[in-house]
Amino acid sequence: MNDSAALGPVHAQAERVARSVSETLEGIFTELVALSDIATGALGSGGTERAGDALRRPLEHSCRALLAQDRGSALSGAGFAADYGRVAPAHLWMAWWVRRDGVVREKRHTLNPESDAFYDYRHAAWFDIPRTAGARAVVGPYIDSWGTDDFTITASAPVVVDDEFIGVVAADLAVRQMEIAISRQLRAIDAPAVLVNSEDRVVASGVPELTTGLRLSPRAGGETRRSELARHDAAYGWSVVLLSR
Amino acid sequence: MTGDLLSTLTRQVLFAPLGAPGRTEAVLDRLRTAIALGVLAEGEQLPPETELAAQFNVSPVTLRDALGVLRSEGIVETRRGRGGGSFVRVPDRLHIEHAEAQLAQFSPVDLRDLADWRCAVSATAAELAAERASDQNVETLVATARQMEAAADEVGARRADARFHIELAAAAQSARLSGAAISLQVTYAPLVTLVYRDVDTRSAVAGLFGQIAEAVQDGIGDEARQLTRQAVTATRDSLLELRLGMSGSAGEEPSR
Repeated sequence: MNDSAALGPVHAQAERVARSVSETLEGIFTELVALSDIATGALGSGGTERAGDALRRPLEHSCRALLAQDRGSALSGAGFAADYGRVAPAHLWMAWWVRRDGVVREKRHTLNPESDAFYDYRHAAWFDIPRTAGARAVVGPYIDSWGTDDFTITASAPVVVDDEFIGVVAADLAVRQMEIAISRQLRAIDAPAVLVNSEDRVVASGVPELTTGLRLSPRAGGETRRSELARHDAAYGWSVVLLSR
Repeated sequence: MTGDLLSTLTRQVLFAPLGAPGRTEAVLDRLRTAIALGVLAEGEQLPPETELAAQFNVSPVTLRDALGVLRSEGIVETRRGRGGGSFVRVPDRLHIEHAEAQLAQFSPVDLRDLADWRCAVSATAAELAAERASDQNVETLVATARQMEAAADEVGARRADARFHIELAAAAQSARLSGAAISLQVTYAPLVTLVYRDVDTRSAVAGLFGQIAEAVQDGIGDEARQLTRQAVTATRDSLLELRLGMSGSAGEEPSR
């Protein structure tokens, strides 16, 4: 049986997975938009001396609620990161909550540039894309050095007050849980399939040689075991890729 | 403060089990490292004594002794009354003095062994990174190599050095290699501070970092591995040279 003849029902299956992934991502942004509104409301017009104090309480309330939700609990962390000097004078400012073992707690980051553990998130794509492009971003999987220090997928959106960029609201997706759930869906497709992000990095895979974090093809190019047969776009540059057997 | 909610580096420095529990020296060592690496920064208030003692799993008396020593060294300042407490001070000489004290705790074979371990972690990371790195990873590596080149002093160089190795592990897409690179930073960063007083060593390593970033960018794994090995060896031999030139005994025999 040649490939094109076999692909009919397979396309429908891949399309369903792509759609389900898109829905998950859009659902996360619905939450982020709400979080952004809360941050914008708390900041009022223009930053004040006590902006950090004004922000923390409503953010904490929302992030705790967001992370405690047990409808599949797709998120492992959420919060707000300010651009330099926007919330704390002449400093970065971040408020972040994580869920570990079912308990939500605040996570502190080292934001002192004189520290060897300095988390300079301004250079991280999840912060940089909303800042420079004013756009939402889904970044990863990547290893978040000085942040989670682990595999991370981050969804982020800009927070703008009076046409000025203040910072971003962001959420980390529970990577392993997502990897397992999506790989199960990918395996149910009657063809080898992987989910990749906008730079063709594997988010979840139904084939053994491509695991989360790897590139669909190595940097230097060269031979890969399978060839790409078709692609079904999901949201935010992600896509389900069907591969040869 | 809950250990697992802090950065991995902080956790490693402040919360990893003490080798010799209950000893003032062990607590001192931990606090000096935390301050030298900026995990506890200039002006920062230390947690209450009872909390800190519990963290280190030592008696409040042992902790008070340790703080007393740090106070006499001018590294901790205690203010009384409202808004009082213990605050961190970072004297200029701290980085070098701490580094020398750390170096004295390693015998030459321990140093060689430590460099072997760093080589195992970073050279493997470099090879995998050449296959797996994203363009963003490559950009970060290039920027960190430049940071190394631009470092104005040994502390700046040490920071760029640690960052480069940790970013290599991140580019390798391995959480375990990344964790190992961060653990190594705790031990290695104070030591290389000494080596990076030499401008030539700084620029030699900066040059190698640039070449490693390039090899990763071009996807040439073998070359990335070899160059990383060279970068580790460059500082290893300078460290051994310094250690051999030191007077005084080697550290205590570790209990195994």
